[in-house]
Amino acid sequence: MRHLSAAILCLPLVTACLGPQEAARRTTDLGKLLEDRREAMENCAPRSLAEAEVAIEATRYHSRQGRPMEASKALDRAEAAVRSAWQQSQDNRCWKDQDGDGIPDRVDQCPALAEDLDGFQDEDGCPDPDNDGDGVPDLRDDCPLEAGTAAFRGCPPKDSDGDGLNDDVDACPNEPGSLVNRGCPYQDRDGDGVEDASDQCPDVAGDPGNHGCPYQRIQVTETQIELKEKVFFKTGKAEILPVSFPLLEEIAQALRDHPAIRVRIEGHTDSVGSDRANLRLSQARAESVRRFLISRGVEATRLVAVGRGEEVPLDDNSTEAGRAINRRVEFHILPGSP
Amino acid sequence: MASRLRRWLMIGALAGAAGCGTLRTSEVFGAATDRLEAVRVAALEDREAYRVTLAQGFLDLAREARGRGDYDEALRFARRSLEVSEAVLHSPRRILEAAPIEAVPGGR
Repeated sequence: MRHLSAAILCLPLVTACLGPQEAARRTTDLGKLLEDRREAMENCAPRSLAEAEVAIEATRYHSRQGRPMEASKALDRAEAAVRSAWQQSQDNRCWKDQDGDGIPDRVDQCPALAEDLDGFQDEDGCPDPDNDGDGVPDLRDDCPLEAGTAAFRGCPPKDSDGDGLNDDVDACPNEPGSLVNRGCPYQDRDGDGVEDASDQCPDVAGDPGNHGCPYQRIQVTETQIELKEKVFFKTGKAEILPVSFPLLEEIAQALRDHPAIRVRIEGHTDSVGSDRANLRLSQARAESVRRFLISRGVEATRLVAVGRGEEVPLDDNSTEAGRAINRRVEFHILPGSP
Repeated sequence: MASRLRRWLMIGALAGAAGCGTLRTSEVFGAATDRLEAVRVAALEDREAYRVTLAQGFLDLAREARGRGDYDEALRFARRSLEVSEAVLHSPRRILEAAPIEAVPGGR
């Protein structure tokens, strides 16, 4: 009868009355809420927390005693106190924070070490003294998020001039240079293509094959080995006169200096005598020069001897001066030679 | 006759039990009220706001229960209030604050 009366009384006030099971469920829920944030509430909302706990106890008490109206009122008080405590404890500072880094100990993976708050993995609460792990502490690292070296203040090595040498070891970091010359370009004062450092004649344009010095009696061009003097033979014969030995020695030297060059040795005569004899003599003289060069260490396969006779004169064969010019040996660099 | 005697004995036992319960509750109430007063005298309300509020809340609840005649509940709440007040009074923090370490004269 008593329960029936209570039920009837509660009918119009469904929200205001509370059955024992409902009271148990709701107080349990509130209790869990408090436990989840107890630390923050104790620090920032101690009175509300205590009021909530007492009101929860009051709810249970009245529920046990079969007073649903009283239980409901107590539960309302409990909920209001929990709400108040919840609102007062929203700030992160309400949580214990040993290292004072603003990250509560409950979520701080390093509660005793302050997070460095440098924008890199700040959520875990652990300091990251070397974000990019390059061994250069962030305090001295100009590129803390990019692995680098100490020489570049923690930044990646830089090669400003792109010569393959990093700036820290490049004596000329803004000028492309040679690795051998510590990143600086070699000087070539005489412009002969041989850097001064290895040019034995740095102020005189010379031959790269001759350590940058010019040959005395010849000049190697792209198409020929040009002679500054003539090759002398016995008159009407193919025997080379000793006076021309230094010239031929230098030609042999040039051919050794330029081992990729292949040469066609051409013999030429003036127009004195028969064509046939001149052709034979020019051939013999070209071969004589070829043999000399072979004897001085030039590979035979690089040398071709050709007699041209009198068919390619350079000057007038009617004068002695012209004929002297026409009697000659030429060294043509064969195509395909570098 | 026997049944009448038995009835009187039962009434006597019930009255005794109720009286003892009231007496016991009063003792605990007195102690809880005293301890809470001691906490207030020590001016710990702000420093120990949570526990002081809790102790006060349980004491109020105990009084309400007593007023409703729920002596067991009242006793339980009064005990909890008493425990909390005792804890405040005996907390290490309070003991340290009550006896600050002073400098030893002469530097010893």
